[in-house]
Amino acid sequence: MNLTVCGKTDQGLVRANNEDNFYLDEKMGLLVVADGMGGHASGEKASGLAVSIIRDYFQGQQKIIGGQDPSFSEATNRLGCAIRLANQAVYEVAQSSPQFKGMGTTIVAVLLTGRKLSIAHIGDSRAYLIRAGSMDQLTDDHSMVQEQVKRNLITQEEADQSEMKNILTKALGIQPEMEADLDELTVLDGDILLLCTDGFSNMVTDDDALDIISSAQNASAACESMIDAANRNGGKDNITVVIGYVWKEKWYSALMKFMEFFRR
Amino acid sequence: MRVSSSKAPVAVNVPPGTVIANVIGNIINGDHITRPDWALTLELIMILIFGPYVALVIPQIKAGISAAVSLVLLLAWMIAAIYLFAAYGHWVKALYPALLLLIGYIVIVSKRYLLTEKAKDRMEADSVETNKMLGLSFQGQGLLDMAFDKFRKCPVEDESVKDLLYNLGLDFERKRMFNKAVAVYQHIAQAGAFKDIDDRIKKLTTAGETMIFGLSGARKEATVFLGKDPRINREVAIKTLRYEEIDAEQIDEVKKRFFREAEAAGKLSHPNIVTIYDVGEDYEIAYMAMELLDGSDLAKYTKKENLLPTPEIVRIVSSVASALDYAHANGIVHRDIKPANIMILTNGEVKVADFGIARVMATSKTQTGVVLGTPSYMSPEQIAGKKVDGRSDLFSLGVVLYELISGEKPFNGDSIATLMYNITTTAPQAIQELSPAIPDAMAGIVEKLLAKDVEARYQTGKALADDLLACLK
Repeated sequence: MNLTVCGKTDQGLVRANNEDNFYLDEKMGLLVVADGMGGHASGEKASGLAVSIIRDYFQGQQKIIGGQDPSFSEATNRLGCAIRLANQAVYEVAQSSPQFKGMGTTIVAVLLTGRKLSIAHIGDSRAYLIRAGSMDQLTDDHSMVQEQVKRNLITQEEADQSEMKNILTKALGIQPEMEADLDELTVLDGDILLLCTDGFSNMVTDDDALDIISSAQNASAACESMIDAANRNGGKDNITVVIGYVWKEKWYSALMKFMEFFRR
Repeated sequence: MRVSSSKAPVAVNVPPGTVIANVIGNIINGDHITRPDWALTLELIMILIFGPYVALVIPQIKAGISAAVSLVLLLAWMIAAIYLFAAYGHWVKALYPALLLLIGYIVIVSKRYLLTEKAKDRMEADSVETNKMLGLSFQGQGLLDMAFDKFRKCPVEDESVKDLLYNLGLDFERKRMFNKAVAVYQHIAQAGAFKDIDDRIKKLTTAGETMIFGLSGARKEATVFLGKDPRINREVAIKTLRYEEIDAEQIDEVKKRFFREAEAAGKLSHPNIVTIYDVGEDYEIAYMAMELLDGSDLAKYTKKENLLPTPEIVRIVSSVASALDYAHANGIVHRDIKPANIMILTNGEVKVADFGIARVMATSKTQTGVVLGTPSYMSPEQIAGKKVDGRSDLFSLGVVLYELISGEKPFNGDSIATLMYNITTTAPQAIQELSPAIPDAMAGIVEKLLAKDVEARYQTGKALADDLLACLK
């Protein structure tokens, strides 16, 4: 399976700086989105550091350090390990100096190996799968309101309106040890992946997002109009969207390319 | 049924006839060991049980349990075989299954032990790799200190680690954090020469004309180094001020203050005042090269168990008084007279150090409203934030004198507020109550020095020095 990706980030209309970060690697099939938090510029640092450590991990030898979950594939375990390392690094930096104290970040990362998609996340940044015209959320937010919904204390509608929407139950870099929630699924030709921070998911409903993505000409235009939509609805937080199209190389694609060459 | 063996004769020197009779008797009575048809089947079954047990079960269960289970199986099998032999005379070849169990167990357990050792090695290699990777990530994010921490955990003998460290050193230089760069290069240098690190260390540790080569102590916001002036090979103390440690907004103000202090003190030349040789700015530090002193400050002589004899106190305080007299005459007030700023050299000389906050009196505009100095030794007018002159230094010297005589501070307070209140309003306990032995004249001097009213004090250092020396006569 191949992946065509595009990502965009925007400061939004209210915040003075952008604490979101993302990283895309088409060849490796790796998408990462992080939403930093903490005073001054430390949120930016936390998300930037987490993303760069995950990038460096996959560009390096990708050795699995620490425990493995045998119920997941090796690729998924590697993704979990990269996030474990990122957590350790961000935590160390946060402890190293008062200016970084209390910084942390959410993280959502997907890794496509063959037909298997590995999903890992901490916090309230989300991954969605768009398949056959419907959009499914692949990640459960680690947030207070999500807990309340799970325990049937409030409804999803109440949760969307809640004041406590931004309170996280888990974040990367807050504790010395932190494991990401892992998941796996098998992708099909034509699947679309969407990774976003809460700056997008809080501003734009899933249905609207689906409309935008299905009507967009290409990945870049889709990202552009998703950010516009979030800003139109208030742009209260930094907005980051990353979109990935899964496609299969057709057996006759080489032939098509060959034809294309002569048509020119 | 096959007859496989017969019972052997019991004694050593049995006549052949008896042996033959014995054997025949045994055959007739059926009193011999048999190997039943099912023996081979049983042996095969046991091998089939023990084989998979060794191969599949032992690796899965804990070491303690596998040892216990294996022992129980072995004993059960041996006892069963012995029982069959003893009770029924059935001979089962117990050895092969037992050997399989025993050797299989040993092989599996030792293999497990060897493999975990190997895994540990792999983990250690991982952590070096991990530290390198984390270090690079930190470096990429501009967290150079954290990066250095990570690289330091990697073996420095490794060429690739040296390269990483070298690049980190260059990054530190680019950020103008020269002391950190030097620390990195020195770390590499532990493992021998590498590229041009020696030159770099030399270049970075030379501040202006004066070479800094080691830390000798730290004082307040400034750091004191031991240095060498290469032109005349004179050892000097270097007080540096690192701009990187100062807020960007304050840097101009602090810089100005530092040079003003250095300039003011540089004008003074007196045997009892620490000489300033050189002042300048290089890279991101301002530095001041001073006379290098070999001795200690007065602080330890203010402890009750270390008090100096009266003549020595008089000598020290009168030396300070004459130094102050000279400085005051040149328009400079020390403003921070305290035991820690008065040095006694090993040859007995007295030096007043750190005219760190000394100000030219003429530029007294900035003095108004600025409270500086150690509260215990501050004069009432300093506390009130008024303009101060040389007589304020004499009050502070009075506090030092009081402490040198009695081992106690004249003014105390649980909080800075009480201390300040006491300095401005309450009279100190009479010195003779604490140290009855001192001459009356000394008590008078102390009292006069600690007068709240500026006009009631000694007006010059010289007057104080004269009075003090008169006490000894």
